[in-house]
Amino acid sequence: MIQLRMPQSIHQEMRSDLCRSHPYAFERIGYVFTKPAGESVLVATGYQSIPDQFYMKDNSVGARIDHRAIALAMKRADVNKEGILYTHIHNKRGLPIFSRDDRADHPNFIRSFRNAAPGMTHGFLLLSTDKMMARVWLPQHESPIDIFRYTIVNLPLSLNISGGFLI
Amino acid sequence: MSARNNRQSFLGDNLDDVLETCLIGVVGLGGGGSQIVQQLAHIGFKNYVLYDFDKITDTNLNRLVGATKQDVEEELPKLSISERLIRGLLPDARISCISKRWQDQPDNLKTCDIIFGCLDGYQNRAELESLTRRALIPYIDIGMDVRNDKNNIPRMFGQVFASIPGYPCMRCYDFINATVLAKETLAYGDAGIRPQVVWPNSVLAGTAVGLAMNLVMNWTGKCAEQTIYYEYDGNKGTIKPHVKCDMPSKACNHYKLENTGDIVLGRN
Repeated sequence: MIQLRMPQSIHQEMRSDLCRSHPYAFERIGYVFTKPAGESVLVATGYQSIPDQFYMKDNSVGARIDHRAIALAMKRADVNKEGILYTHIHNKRGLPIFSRDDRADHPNFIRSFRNAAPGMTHGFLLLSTDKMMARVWLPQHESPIDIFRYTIVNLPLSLNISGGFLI
Repeated sequence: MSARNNRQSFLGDNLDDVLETCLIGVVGLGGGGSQIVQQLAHIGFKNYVLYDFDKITDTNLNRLVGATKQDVEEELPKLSISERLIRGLLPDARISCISKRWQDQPDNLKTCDIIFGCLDGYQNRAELESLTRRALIPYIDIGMDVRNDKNNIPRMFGQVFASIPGYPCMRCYDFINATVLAKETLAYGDAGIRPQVVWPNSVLAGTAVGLAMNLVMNWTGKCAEQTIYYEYDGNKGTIKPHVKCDMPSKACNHYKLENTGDIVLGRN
């Protein structure tokens, strides 16, 4: 089982950024960067907000970003040897589920992320207003794995089972 | 809430879930570690990763909880004694027993939600804290010692330290520093007889377990204000927040977020 640990500072920065309104996109996108800690744990090392001007005007989806936004993540992943989690939020409570549009975009992003850091785990982190889940591709694996176990590291510790925070 | 948890239901509605899923690491199962394991098992934690490579001897019987004279005669590993203690209370507990130095097989520790360290020496502690910081795991360290003062009176002292990623570490509070590490290196191979008794370990283990319970349950509602460094004075019979807890800076400059995770070298 893969699990994700994230310091509260990154968790807070991520949620604050993704909840901001955008001049024309319906939602925001960000990147959480990770490194492995052993074989079955991913630890979050940072969050990257995407500048407003890197969003494309496309009313057919919640948000679409251009090549500059993707390059932003790829550069950091390459330099720091990190994995990339493309992150956005669905403004509902409960365990979030990737939409059909989300899933359709996954292969292209994964291809780009793997070009930048082929040995790292990449994927997508989806937040709701109170929970989150992730879908990740391990290096050299074609099928993704869904992550439901998370810990937000703080005082107190927020342990999670099956996508729901215990605290 | 299960019937077993009836008397501790005040800890929170999610107690059953936490006890069922939380994975606890305990490194070192001597005087301190055996008491921590005992208390965790009584509380009802179901999942453990235990490290100890030592076998019990006569000299351990004064403080190793759960041990018997028979265990000494059979030269039982300390791991087996802790496992027996847990299974006596929780027959279906999931326990990984690792009979090695933790440094020789660290990956099991990285899956833990909380790690207790009951180790000898500063270097050992520094290395374990470094691993837990990299893996973003709260690490709770306990230890005690007895040394004679200038009047040749034994002074018993100890500490409980919770090293929480994002908060001050053992180096921030100067519990670990270059001087103590250098002294330890110079004294390598000259450990002598290290005085140890059972009752201070009870105080330290109980404080550490209480701290962990607030960390996972926040039953006080004030976990954000939790004391993370306690000092124990065995001569006075006191345990209290260390004076350095009042220092103004709450940020750690020794373990930076960008250094989190395993070290990845070269083209990945």
